[in-house]
Amino acid sequence: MTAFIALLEEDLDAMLRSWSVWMWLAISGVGGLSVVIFAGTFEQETTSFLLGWFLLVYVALGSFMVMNISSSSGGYDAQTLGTSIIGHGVTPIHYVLALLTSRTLTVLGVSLLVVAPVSFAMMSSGVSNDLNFSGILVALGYTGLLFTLLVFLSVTFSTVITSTPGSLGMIYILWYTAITLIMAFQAHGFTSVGVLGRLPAVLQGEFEWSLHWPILAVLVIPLVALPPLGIRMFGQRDL
Amino acid sequence: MDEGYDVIKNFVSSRNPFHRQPIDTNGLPETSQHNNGNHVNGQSEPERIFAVETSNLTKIYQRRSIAVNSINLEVPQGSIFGLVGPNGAGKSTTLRLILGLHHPTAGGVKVFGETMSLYTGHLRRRMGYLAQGEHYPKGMTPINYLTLVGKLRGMPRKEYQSRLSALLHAVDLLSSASTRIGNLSAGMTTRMAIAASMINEPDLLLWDEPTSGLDPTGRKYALDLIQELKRQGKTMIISTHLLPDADNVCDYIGVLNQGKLVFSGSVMEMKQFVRENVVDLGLAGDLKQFKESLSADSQVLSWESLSPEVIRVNFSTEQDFSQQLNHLLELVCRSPVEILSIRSGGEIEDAFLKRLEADRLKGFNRVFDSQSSVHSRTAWSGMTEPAQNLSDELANGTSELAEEHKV
Repeated sequence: MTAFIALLEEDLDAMLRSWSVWMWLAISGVGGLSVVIFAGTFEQETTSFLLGWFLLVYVALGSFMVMNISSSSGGYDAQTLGTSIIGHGVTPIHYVLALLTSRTLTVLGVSLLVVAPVSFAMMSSGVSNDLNFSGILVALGYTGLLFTLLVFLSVTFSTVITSTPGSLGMIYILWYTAITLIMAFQAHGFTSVGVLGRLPAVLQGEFEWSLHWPILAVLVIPLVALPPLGIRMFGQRDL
Repeated sequence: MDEGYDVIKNFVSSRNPFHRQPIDTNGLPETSQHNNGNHVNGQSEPERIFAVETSNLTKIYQRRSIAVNSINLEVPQGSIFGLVGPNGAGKSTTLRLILGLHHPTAGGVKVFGETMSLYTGHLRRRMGYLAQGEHYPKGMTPINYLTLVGKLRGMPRKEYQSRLSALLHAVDLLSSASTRIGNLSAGMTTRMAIAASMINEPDLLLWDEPTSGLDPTGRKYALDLIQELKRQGKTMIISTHLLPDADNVCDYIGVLNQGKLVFSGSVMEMKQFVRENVVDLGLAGDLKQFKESLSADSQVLSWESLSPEVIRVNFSTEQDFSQQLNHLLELVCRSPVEILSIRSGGEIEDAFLKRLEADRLKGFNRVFDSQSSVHSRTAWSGMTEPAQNLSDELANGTSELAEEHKV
């Protein structure tokens, strides 16, 4: 347990020092501020439509940063990892779980730090506001789950494929293919409204459990299965 | 820096629960002394505790290169074991296998009686590892790295903080404590790694080339430290290219060649392998008369002057060496000379080269080596039946060498 805590502290510290994390926070912060200003100025578009597009773009572009942050195993090659970390009494369980926890906390921290204030600011200041508080919570929950799944996938891939560029390449292809397919299936046509599918309705507070549970199952089941797989794959490596 | 290494010695001795008395000056390792007390004929024999045991340990990388080839090692607790061998012999891989960082392709490793793997972190906490090369996080500073190591090893904050300052002082890195590891010289990195491997006073130390990159003073301090750690009862496995270093500090030596352990035994045995009844005498006085006595003596095969004060005397290999040595000493007593030094046995470098050569000359018969080593494991190479092992090996190695010379 002490090794896990020590690794978690060390990795969170490394994340705080990472320029890519701060860059992501800054760029998405500026983007969020622009959307809030836009929603407070233009009454032609509803806030659910604007926030829907903001979330869509944020997830699509943010995924790129999440994958980059999660795929690097602390920037160490296998021998350095073995010598300077695992050689001091750390097991694959400690290492993989600490990495998963730290990267998830970082990604959720940075994303919610932008998305949550932006959503509630739009609700309070939007001139054509149709957002609902519980709808925003549901959307934030999905964004968090989606990013958590992406972190778990990236970390697991980085344990299977030892080369960071290799694992990044694989996860880029897999992830972007998957979200493009999902969008294509749930879209109501290739228009600015149609692409969003049911997202504006969810933000307005509509909630049908029958629609949500399959999505939740798809997101949650891998979250349970990926850590043991990652630990097992990492445990088979020579360090 | 002298003072610094004393700091290490002091806190090692003050905290070590396994603190033992210094070994006797007869040069025998402590474990050998215990062994001398064993009863052989049906009486109780204390069970020998091995810090490390390997059984047919084999590592093949991606079905392409055989790094370690069926090694059987037993390292007694409290001893210093030197792994020597040419470049690419498999020394570093063996250490990483012992540490559990590499998965054996076949065979296994036991550390303190428990099977070692990547998942036995509690065992790795009892081990301190010094890696060869620059496999340390380049972006961290020594102070950050030692702090991390202290945390990973589960030490309380106060304890690792006080210890890391003492260790950085000891290895003379206080002034560079805030320099990035990537900017440290090779010697400084080695010194930092020495400190890191000792932060929680582990029972077993695996040091890969501990003197590489160190200046002569640093090397001497490192060797002194190894001897001090041995006195504290620590077990050490040291891999080195520098045979004099191994000669200075090791109790036992394993010679690796192309992943194969070609010799495992005490340093004495290693040296005796090349002993050819030769004695080097350092003398003062009337050497002319002594040389005349040597020429007239029937038991002396030949002699030569190595320097104005040193004479090398060769005896017949067919007669008992100790009797001939006594005879030589009588000859010295009868002559108007004074002994300044006396040395017998070969140099460790000669022994090393001869071991490699003897292994090569075994040819295809090396296929039986692993089988015989398994059968002879219980009579641990050098300590229980040294004379038998030695005579067998001498018979195999030297006779084959002699045969080749004849050809």
